[in-house]
Amino acid sequence: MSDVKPVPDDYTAITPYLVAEDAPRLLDFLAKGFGAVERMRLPMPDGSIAHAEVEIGGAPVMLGSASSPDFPPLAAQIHLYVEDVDAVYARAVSAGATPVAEPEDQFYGDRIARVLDPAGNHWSIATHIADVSAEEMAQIMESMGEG
Amino acid sequence: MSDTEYIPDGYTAVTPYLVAEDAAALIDFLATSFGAVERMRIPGPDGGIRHAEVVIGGDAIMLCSVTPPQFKLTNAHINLYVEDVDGTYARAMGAGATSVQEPANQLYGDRGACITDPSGNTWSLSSPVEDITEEEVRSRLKAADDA
Repeated sequence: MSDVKPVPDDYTAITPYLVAEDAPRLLDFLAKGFGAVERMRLPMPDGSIAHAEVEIGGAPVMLGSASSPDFPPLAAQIHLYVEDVDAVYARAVSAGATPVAEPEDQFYGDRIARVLDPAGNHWSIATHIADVSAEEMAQIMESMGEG
Repeated sequence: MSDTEYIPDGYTAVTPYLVAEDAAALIDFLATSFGAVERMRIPGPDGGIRHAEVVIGGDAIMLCSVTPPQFKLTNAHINLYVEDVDGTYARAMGAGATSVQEPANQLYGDRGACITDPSGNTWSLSSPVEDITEEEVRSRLKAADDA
């Protein structure tokens, strides 16, 4: 073991890693759609991306080009908290996202919209609008009936 | 808008959401391999999980098995910083993971290993062993490409 910190500064323990056929296009989408700030990009000679990192709302997301059988393109799902779900949903769709669900208040206290990014990742765009306790949630779900 | 903060306490802006056939088995795997602590589990019909949350290294992961029609099974890739890559890798393999890459020192300054969990998500296990700059990483990548 070294004395280097196990989790480097400006990182969290868990970071989603998106693997896309066209990583430059995904980087462009994340900037326009979600206001992602690029903090690292390691390009390869063929124009693909060995590794890139962006920050959205202060949280890092890593991504790279699908480059080998060990790293095929992936379909991730990410829960993204933003200040204004309606505005971010509109921006994401105009930046090329496919709408899945329009913004709507959910019983568990988030207003949520859903889109697929150009690489096929599913983003739940959420703004927290109310604190709902686990007990209240259980009651509401019971009254909704199962299934 | 309410006066509730748009990111609830205990969450970051970006959270991976794993959709698995057998979310309960995935939670067991995450607990055994990565020391994940379960903080929420909302059961659905037929023994499935409608929504669950675990915490690994202080960060949240959301998951479910009971899916609305717009959810697809994910094959996500997550970068996980851990204190002991070799120990975590061994625990994960003992808990049913498939090896993608055995622990080795990487040219970008991390000790890294890679596994696939029983649901098909890929985990890069990382622990920095050198403090190196992005420029140094670029020059090492170039040297490796030119070799």
